[in-house]
Amino acid sequence: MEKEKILVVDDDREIAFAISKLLKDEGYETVTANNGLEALDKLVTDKIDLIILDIMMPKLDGLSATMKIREKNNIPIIILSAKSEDSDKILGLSIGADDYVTKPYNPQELLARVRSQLRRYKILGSGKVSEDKNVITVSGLSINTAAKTLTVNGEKVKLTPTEFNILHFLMLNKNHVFSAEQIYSAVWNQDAFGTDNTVMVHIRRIREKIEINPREPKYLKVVWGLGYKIEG
Amino acid sequence: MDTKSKAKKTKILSALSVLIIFIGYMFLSLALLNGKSVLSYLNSGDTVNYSSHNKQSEVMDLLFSYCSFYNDIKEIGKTDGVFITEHTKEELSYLEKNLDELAKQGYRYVIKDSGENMKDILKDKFADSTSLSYIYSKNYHYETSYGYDYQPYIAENETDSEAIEGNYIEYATENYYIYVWLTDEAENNIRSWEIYSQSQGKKYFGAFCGGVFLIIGGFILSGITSHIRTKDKNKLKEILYHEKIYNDILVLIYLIFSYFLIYFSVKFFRVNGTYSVGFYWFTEITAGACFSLFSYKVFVNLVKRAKRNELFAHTTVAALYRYLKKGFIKISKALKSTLTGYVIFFFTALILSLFIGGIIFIFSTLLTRSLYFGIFVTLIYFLFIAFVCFKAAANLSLEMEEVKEAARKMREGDFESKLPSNMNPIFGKLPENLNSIGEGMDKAVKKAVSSEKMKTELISNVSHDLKTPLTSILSYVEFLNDDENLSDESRDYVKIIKQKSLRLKNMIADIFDLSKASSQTELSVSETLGLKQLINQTLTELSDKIENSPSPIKVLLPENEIYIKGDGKKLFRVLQNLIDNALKYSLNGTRIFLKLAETNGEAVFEIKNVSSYEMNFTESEILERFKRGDESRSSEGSGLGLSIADTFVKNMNGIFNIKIEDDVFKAEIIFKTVQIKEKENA
Repeated sequence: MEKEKILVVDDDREIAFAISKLLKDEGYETVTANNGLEALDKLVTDKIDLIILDIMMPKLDGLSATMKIREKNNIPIIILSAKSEDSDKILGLSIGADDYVTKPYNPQELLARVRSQLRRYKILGSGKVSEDKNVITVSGLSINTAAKTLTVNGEKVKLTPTEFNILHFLMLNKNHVFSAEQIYSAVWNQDAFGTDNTVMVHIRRIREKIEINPREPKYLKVVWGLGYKIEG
Repeated sequence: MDTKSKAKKTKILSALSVLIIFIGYMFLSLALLNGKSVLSYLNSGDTVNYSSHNKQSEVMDLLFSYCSFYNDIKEIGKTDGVFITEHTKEELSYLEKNLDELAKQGYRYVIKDSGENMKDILKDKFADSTSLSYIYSKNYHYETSYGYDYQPYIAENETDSEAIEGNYIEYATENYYIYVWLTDEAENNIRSWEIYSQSQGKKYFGAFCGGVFLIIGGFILSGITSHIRTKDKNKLKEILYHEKIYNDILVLIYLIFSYFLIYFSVKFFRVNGTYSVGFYWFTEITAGACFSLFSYKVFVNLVKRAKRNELFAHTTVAALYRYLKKGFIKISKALKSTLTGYVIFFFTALILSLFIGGIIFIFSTLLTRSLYFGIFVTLIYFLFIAFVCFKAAANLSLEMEEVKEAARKMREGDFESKLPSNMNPIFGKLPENLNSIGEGMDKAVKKAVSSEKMKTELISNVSHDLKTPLTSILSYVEFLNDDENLSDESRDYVKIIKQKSLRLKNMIADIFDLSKASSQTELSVSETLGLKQLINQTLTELSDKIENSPSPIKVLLPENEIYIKGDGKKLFRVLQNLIDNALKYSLNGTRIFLKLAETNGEAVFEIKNVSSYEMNFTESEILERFKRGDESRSSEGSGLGLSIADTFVKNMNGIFNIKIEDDVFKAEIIFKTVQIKEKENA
């Protein structure tokens, strides 16, 4: 299998080099660029499979570059920026980036995200979308209600029956926030009592299984004081 | 002399002065009562000067005093052309009484009817008539002092007219005449009584003078007492409630009171000849006590006022003068201001327009010789004037509204709108000043907003610029860590670098959050949250740490959900910080207590733990930024945990308290609860 080629764009050459080295050690091929314009050039000259892009760069910043790239290309873009506010993340994701990682990054997390995006791009992005009625897909999550299986960006994840039921319920009602009690009564089919936090423990386990960084979940989100939801 | 004995001395002095006034009063009243003629003695000296004219006027007063009965005459019968009225009967009864009184004093009187018809009535009235058909007379001379008895004087006939010719007083009504004169004998008796009483007067004059001197002495002593007492500056400063009365009013009340006290107590016993000795002394002692105490108070007060230089200043006259003076100053000041100028202008214009109206009325009436036309023209004139006035008032009130509106807008933060410069001069510089205040505020607010914006940008940029090199450090440390050729010693060093770099990363994140929260640029999201669920979520989130901690957490949550308004994410951060803190600093094996309760519409969250070290800092110190309990700064936290919790809670309008009691550390968060309808389970 041909090595995937990743374009690393950062105006800080040391960081660009470090990321390249990290990726190379994992067996990827890398190309580096130091600003948005250069990145666009590299996209033309090289066959790129994934882009890791900084925001604050001279000449052409990461956000503008993302928009430019998205005009004709749907390759995965991971924004890697020191801007860590929610508003920055939302902006980046909404203009077309697939993921947002903040600096200073955790090398293992970055690698996991790269892997996840590439897998998703290769498998789901190739247009092979399941037409099975039993399959429900939200973002990178996909469950098969008949086979009781879950794949995250194409990778199989094992869940217990309870975990599966909870995830199924939340995915059926994506973007809807449910309190722990509501989830309990929906999944267990009986009223929840008092301070029981069974649901919460299950959800935490699910997150540990499906999320790359459970502390900053991408799929199963905690809505503090209100409950949980699947975002898609 | 110490104050105690001084106070005792003044007390004795004041009691003494009251006593002296009291004794003086007793002398005075005794003198006035018994020396009936002390006053006449004073008037006439040693010579007896009896004036029958004085007596005459006394008699006339007595007779005429019944004149009020003349009103409201009622006809009750008619005998031979004489009107017998109810009034006549009353009149006669009254006369009888008064004539008796006169007779007792040695007068003689003759009643002469004006016609035959009256005789029977008079006879009937004065039933114990002795003889004469048309003259009825009765006479007594009476003087108890000399031991005389009643001796009815019976006049035989009209020969008494000699006396009548002499020195009589005539009292005439429609139906009868009354002549009153003093018999020689009675005159003699009265004269000797006068002589007697004058000698008595002489005797009691001593008592009178003594009383007066004693009273004056008492007054002086009261004054001295007050003087001694008010040597104490505090006593002088202090004005009691009852001492606030104006001096002149006080003196006036005092004089009236004293006059009535003496007059009535003396007069009562003089008029009513018979009284018991006990009653006399009771009355006089009571009156004397009242008089002496009142006098004492008055003089004490007056001396105090005099020492305060307020003897004349604290009078109604002075107060009135001050009031008027103040008023005049105010008026003269106001005269200079625009507003009063307008008021004066208004009144002048009013008087002038009334005057012109009058002229119009007179001229139009005279010229057309028609009153109606005159009234009509004048009415039209006044209607016109009224219209002009209303229009001016309307203009003014509209402009007033404009000014009010401008002030209201300014209060609400709109500094853009301006008042026109050509407003009614009655407002003076007000519109101009309001405008310039607005401009100033506008500038200040814009400046503040831009500086706040700059501050946030600065924080954001600094944070970004700090993170970039840190990213490189962490990346390359990672490579070093993976280097297999590294010696063990070097590997340890790399580990430390990695640890510290991670801590730096946390600190930068915390500083960034704190700066944002305290500069208030980031508005807190406010949504209804279930606090109980939030706590459970947090505990689940931190379950790894909690399970691995040597200090178990005891959680006490209420049965029902408690709802508050706040930002869930931030509140999670707060709870996380507090729980982290408790886990980090708890003494091994001790329990951490986490409680949530609702009391009086307030949700109270509380976390309590036993500290593993002695907390030698105060509650406020621990909230200072970068303050850490253990001072060693070796652990991984940024030292901002509690500051962040504090700032976040306050941003959400909650209350954050830290309490330290010996080794127990307690953090408390209080939020107002919100009532929501329980959502129905789907």
